[in-house]
Amino acid sequence: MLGYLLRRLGTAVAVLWAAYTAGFVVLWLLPGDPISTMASGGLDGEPLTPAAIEALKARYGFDQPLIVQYGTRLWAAVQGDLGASIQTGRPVGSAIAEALPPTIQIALGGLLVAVVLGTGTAVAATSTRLRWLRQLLMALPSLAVSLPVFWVGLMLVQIFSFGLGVLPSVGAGGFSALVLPSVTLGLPMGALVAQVLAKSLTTALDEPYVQTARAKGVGRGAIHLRHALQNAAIPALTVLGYVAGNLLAGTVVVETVFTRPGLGRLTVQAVGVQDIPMVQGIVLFASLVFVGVNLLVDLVYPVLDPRIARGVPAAA
Amino acid sequence: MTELLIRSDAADPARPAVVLPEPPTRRERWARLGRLLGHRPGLVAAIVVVVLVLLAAFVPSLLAPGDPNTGVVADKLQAPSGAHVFGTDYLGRDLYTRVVHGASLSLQATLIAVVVALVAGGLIGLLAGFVGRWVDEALMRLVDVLLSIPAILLSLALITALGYGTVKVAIAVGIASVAGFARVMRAETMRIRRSTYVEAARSVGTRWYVSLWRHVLPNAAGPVLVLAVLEFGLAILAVSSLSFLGYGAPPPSPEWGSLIAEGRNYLATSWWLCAMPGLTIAATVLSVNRISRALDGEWSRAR
Amino acid sequence: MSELASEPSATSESSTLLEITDLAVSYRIAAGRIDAVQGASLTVAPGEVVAVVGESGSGKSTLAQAVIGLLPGNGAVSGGSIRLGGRELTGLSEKAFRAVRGRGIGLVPQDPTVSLNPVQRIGRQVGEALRVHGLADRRTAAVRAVELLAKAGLPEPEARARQYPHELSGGMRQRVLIAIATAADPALIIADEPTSALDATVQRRILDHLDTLRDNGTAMLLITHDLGVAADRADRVVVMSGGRIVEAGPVAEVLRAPADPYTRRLIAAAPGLSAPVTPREPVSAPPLVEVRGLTKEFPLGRRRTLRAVDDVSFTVARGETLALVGESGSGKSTTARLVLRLADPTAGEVRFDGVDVTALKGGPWRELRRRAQLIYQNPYASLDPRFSVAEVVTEPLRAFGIGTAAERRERAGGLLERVALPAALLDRRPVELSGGQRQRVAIARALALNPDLVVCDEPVSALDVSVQAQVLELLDELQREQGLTYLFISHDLAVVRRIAHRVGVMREGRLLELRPTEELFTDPDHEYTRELLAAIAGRRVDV
Repeated sequence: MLGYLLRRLGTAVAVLWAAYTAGFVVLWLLPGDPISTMASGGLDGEPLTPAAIEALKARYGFDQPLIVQYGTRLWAAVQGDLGASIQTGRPVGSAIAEALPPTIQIALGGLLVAVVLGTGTAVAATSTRLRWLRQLLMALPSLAVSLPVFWVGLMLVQIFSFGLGVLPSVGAGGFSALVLPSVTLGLPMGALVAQVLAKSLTTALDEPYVQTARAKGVGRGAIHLRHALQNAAIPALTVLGYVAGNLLAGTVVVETVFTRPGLGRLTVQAVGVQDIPMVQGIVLFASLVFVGVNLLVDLVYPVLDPRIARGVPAAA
Repeated sequence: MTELLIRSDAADPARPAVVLPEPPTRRERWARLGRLLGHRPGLVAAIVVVVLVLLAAFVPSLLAPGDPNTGVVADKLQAPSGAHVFGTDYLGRDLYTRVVHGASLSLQATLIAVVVALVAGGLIGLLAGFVGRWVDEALMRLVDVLLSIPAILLSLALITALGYGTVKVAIAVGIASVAGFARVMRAETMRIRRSTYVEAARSVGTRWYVSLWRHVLPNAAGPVLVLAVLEFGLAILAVSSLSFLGYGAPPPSPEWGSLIAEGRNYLATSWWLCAMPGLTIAATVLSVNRISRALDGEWSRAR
Repeated sequence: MSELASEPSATSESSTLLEITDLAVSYRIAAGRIDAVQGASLTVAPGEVVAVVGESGSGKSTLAQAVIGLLPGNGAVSGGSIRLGGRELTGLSEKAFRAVRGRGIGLVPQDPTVSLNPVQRIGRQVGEALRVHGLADRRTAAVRAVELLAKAGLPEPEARARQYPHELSGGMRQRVLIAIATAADPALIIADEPTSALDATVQRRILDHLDTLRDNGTAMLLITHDLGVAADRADRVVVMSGGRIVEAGPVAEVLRAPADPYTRRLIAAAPGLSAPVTPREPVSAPPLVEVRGLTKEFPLGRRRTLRAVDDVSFTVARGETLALVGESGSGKSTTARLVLRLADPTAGEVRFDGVDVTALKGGPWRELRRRAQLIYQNPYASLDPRFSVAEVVTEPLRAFGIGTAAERRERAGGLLERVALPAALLDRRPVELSGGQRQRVAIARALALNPDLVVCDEPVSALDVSVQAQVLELLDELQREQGLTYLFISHDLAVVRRIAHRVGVMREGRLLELRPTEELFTDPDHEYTRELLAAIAGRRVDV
């Protein structure tokens, strides 16, 4: 068990390092360097003098060889220093920390919506005996994943804010302002969870051990809860890990639609002005969250499936 | 179930009688396709939608002869009606015409994205799955890293580096989906490479590159193409999201995501400006997904 | 005793427990309807063992599923009646049937490795069979589960109850499943191919244990493809073919004087029931293959290795059939692959026609492919589903660039003829062929390059008995015509007896003994060999 844990942790750290490196390669190497962007008036200011450019380069360390830049930045990042925003000059780390609280609110709301909606739909679809209801419930998730997220948000605003006037359309004030963004964020992810769980539940219900249980005289409901669900949970959990890891990314669109402050908006702004340290900081943070969530998921697997805990594949 | 369909070999033990099912004739194949579609009105609708979208992309004037960029200001912000089926925008431009003419932009971007993902991901997966060992290890770690950065953020990072524009957005979306293709292609390649029939080919002296070409690629192509069709739908959504955020084609162009972004300003008064392009996107993605599902199982199972 | 059996009813006096009359079962499929069982009638008396024998597709499993009300979703009883202890089971509601399952009828399923819930402890799964019928509460169920496991012959039942299925061997899992089936003390047990997924010696012990259940007066409906098993274990036998019952009667009678031609064929083909046509004398010819001190180790995690093949030496003479017999994990398949050089030995030497091939690489390695061929166990997996039969058979010719496309095709037609398949099959795909036809195609492919040695890795174990016999005959015929040398890998001593000149018995990577076939069968040296021989089904009856 300890070995399993350490292996997972090692992988997680390696992935983070590689994600940082990938971000460095993409952002700092591809377009030349951000100073040139600034120098040519990429920001709304006027073009800079050569002397000012040199000063800026020295300040951001661009006069160093690449490998040295990479080393310095990586070392700083390990210590929690993600550099300073080119746009505002503030440390990237604290900018992210400030933007985080409202984002966490809708992310958790979205996760809740996704879990409730996803498992509810899947369990209902596989346990109902009504053919039409099953087909309807099975069709809903594939409909939901086909809708553009931003459009769903706008339509919800249209209906609930402008049409019925029951929920606010914009802003971050109070619980009622959380509902629409959470639903918008959670809907496609819930659909994903529903699809995977419904499929693995259907597979599990076809397994011979379910036949054994039925031959004992166990009823439908009990078979669902006691036998199929735990076996079907693993693929669903994998997807849930993926979903939770992607919640941050989802807020990019959702916060724009609902004009909420938060990490998503920060990202959109940073991309808009090519604020490279900021974008890299956010990408690194997102993969930190992703890796963290999946580490958590890895730790839950052995609880659900004893075969994983022993670290051996099922032997005959 | 299958065992019911396999009849025992022979009626006479001395000489195995050969019971041959007749091979399907061309007419029977068409009849089978007809039966398949007849039972699935949803699939038929999906095919019709995709054909219409393709028509819109290649010969937009066939479906909407008007000019997407000029409008009659007097007719601005009209609700859908007989004259303007999707309504008109704030400059009096016919929304239906704009949606039809936007199809080629959206589809072009989607196609680029899928091709980038398919080619890059397919090659990585094939290489990892076929060569194995450290090549597999290295490539799969790379894929893990790509997977650990949420797709839209990876696209945004690439856009930060590459700049704005439809093609750049498309490339960014494509690169963000490379990992998925690489995984499926690797899994398929490994499954087939380890299959008994590939070992059988090797044991009769077939060279490895011949078995790659004749066994592995044809058998791996199916699942990967299904994924490509599915990815097509996802790429439409991703491309439209990015142009909604404003990173796609500049304003006058009627790219679907940009149309919704424009309509957003009139949400309170003119619902159709958002709803209609959104429904078009949804219908297209839904149809593509439906066809992908049909390719995945129903067609082969119905045989 | 079971509630149903003791229920005072009109028929409680009669001596039938299960009475199936004119049963018909059909499946809905896309193309219409398949009648899987038609007009089947049979009875089982209390304490009696009735075997239902048939090949795949005969409808025997469907019959069993209908009795316990567990037909797949697209299947339904379309006529006739099933009465258990006088009570009609067809048309029973799902809820009412639930009370019958487990309590009135127990089921021992086919494959023990997948028939237990992998994420639940054994004890709980056994206890559940009691709890659903209200025969125990949470606490007593745990205690009773341990008792049941002990009764099923599991060592250390308390420890087993706390384990998960993957921690038990296949044979132990089947005992757990028997404990589950008998937990609520049903009057009838349905055993659906209860041992076909197990090794021969384990198989025998499980069947022995099932035999002991009759002491409590439990009746059993034994579904099997193996006439030998039926002959050993049943009081009466029912033979099914194509969904119909073609013959039924007491075992001895049916075996001695089968009335139906299909039954006669089945008996003739059953490997365990009939002695070999002519005992085969050892061949005296120079050796084609010489194996010395062959060893293969697989790394098993860090520092540990598994010795799959352990210091094995033997020779195969030209024109001889040498069989290697053993249970799963004995190293027989690995040995075959080492001889063919499809795997690299850790130590030891393989000489082919006098030449050391142990370390061949590149060109010479490919030349070996011309002379030594392999036939796989599963003809469903060894043919590329996208290839036509012609492409499969000509693949070796293409690989060595022999002939033009037209010549190769003609050659393929000739090869099909040699394996008794019509040339019309050339353009078919493997999916369209039956298992036996596919294996013939695989044999044709192996013969394409006129090899000296053909290694057959369980070539008939995936086939029905009657098809098995035909394929074995074909292999025999080809050997006589072309002087082929066979290395024949099998788990089935009865099959080996029909084809081998000499037999080697393997266990845990070691070659225990290697003797001429008849000598081994009549006078085995090794205790393990005796055990294997005793496990051959059908040896209890004298025909």
